Amino acid sequence: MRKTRFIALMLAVVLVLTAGLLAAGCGDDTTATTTGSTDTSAATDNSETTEATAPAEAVTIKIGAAGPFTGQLAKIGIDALNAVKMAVDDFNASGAMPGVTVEVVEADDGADPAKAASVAEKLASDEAVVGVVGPMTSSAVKAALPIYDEGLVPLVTQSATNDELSEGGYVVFHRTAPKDGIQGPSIAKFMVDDLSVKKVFIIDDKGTYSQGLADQVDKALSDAGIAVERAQITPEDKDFSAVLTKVKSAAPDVLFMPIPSPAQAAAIAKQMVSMGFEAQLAGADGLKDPTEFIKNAGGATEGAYATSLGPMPEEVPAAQDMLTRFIAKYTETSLFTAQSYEATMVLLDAVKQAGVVDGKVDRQAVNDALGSTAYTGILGFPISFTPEGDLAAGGIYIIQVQGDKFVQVKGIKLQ
Amino acid sequence: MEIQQQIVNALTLGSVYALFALGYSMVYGILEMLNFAHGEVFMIGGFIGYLVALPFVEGGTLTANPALVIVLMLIAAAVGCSAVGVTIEFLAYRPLRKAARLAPLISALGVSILLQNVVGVITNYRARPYATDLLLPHSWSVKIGSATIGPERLLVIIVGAVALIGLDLFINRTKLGKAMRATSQDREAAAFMGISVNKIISTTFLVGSALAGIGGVLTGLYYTQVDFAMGFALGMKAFTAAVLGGIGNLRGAVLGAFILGGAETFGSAFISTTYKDVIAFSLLIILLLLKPSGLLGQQTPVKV
Repeated sequence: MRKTRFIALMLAVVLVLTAGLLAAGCGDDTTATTTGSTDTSAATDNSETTEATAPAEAVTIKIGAAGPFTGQLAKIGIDALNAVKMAVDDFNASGAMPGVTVEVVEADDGADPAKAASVAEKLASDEAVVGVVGPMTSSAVKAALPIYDEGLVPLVTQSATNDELSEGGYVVFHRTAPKDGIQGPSIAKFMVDDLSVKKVFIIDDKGTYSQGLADQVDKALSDAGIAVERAQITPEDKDFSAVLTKVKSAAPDVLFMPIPSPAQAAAIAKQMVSMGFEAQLAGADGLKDPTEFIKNAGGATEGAYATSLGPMPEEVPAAQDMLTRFIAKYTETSLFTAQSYEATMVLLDAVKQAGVVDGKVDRQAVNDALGSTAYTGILGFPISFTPEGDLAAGGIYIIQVQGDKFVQVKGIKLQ
Repeated sequence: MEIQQQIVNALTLGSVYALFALGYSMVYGILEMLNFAHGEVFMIGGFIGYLVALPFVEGGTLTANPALVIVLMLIAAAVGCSAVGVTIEFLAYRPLRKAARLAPLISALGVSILLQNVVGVITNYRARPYATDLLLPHSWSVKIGSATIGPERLLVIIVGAVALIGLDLFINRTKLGKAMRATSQDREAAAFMGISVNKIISTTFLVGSALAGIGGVLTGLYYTQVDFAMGFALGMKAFTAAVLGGIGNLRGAVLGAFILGGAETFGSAFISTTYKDVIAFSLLIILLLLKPSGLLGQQTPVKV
């Protein structure tokens, strides 16, 4: 008896080691990571199954976390990745799916469409991957979507808002953020109704997200008879004097900059101060980062408007516990911290609905479950998807820089 | 009139590119290698400046004379970056001096990626703000015609000009400069004449990196923030400027920098902000087609 138990234990150890080796050797760009807590739970699961006659065999499934973990947008990418990991740890620890251990596969796309497509290939070809959180940028989703769709890998993006993404008929696409088609006109309406603008200058960065949103607002404003002037920058630009000189001579009521980099937007605001002129600043959800857009701007962005897709997590009671734990572990939150956690939980909820069949979780079943999702998590409102994969209900909020933080000034409900 | 303001913008941008391009050109002139890590030295200079200014900024006010703080920032960045530059040369390039030409190039790329990511991790991939509005308040602006020259631009242009002229004098008028020129022309012959080639190469990195450090601080003041990727983005432009002027030729690098700065600024001001880079790089291609060795570059006959 003692001897057989010893042999069983040894076998379990060998199995775990082999699994570890296989996971470690599975790719160069994508690396499987198991966090400490899941490691130990996996080990106890193993010893339990060899000892007792637990019916549930230990199953390890993976979800991909795709986003820019290097490059210009690395900051929001890494914070999102950490939130995904935290959600997975919480899910594993909650015992929602006994015997199942979820692992996170990091898929860094550097916000580069070409890289997004190549990491999508890797995730799609890994049978253990049952879903993906991300990619985070619209350009990356656009490039990767056909590949995920072909491999039937369900994806839930927490932040890609470009309209076209849900118009391609891709069944695997889901997003927990409202699309620009809703955000753009809402911002334009706010500028017309509440700010009474006569002339607006729009700066975008040529990216799918930025230019798409700029087009939306441009169209809505032009339809309302507001004069619009536009200019473009690139995400690498640091010197905005040429563009700002144009803004200065245009003298607009609002300078609208729907760019995804709060740091860049803060630099534009500060360089505007250096050039000695003022304009009411406004942006979209991309600017909602207190450290980069408010603290680093040293007052230059005071009074600027931005948007929050869904309520600001800081003002939702249900999100407080997660945010507190996140800050305790990683010192600060950023743009999509709570949203990434929520998107991960939505995906994991669908995984749970799909359940384990024949020792694995079926991608099609997860996708079907996502289609009929009705999940209320830390953001405090029920998340469900339209047949195209858009967020069915929710709202966007106009927020404003007041002192050292963003304050919600107006809520706009989706229909 | 917008055009006067845009001329000032072009001059400022040109000065930033020039300080950066010189480092590329100096190293290429002597070692015939592209020092990709130069951009990261520049970026580190920006961060050193940020760290030096940090204790003087308290709750939105400055606790010391702004001129003193800026001088301290510039000196610290120059000294710090010299050390970084010389160390990079010693550790990553010197052991490969006799290796195939591609080896140091790859090594340089490696150092560049390494430094960028180390700083990225340390800074949590966040940008760091420069208190430009405190150090150089807008009220110090100078008005020429309809153009407003903010103090940070004035500083970039003046310090840039002083550094460029100083470097030109150093290379052309001093004994050390002469030795550098000799090493650049023919390393072996220079060694035969009793020039310590290793010392000259170290000096080149020291001077080039000091300029990069100064450039990093000036750029931080001008752009109002520094981040871990700034060297890479700017490096592409500065490298273009160096090639445009004839890589290896220092006056050429400066000329190339101002042409590129002008092309970008006027391109986005009067043609289209969307095609700013297209305009700048089309210009580069046309110029290189007409003059393959760059504006001031010399056609060197192939050594046999």
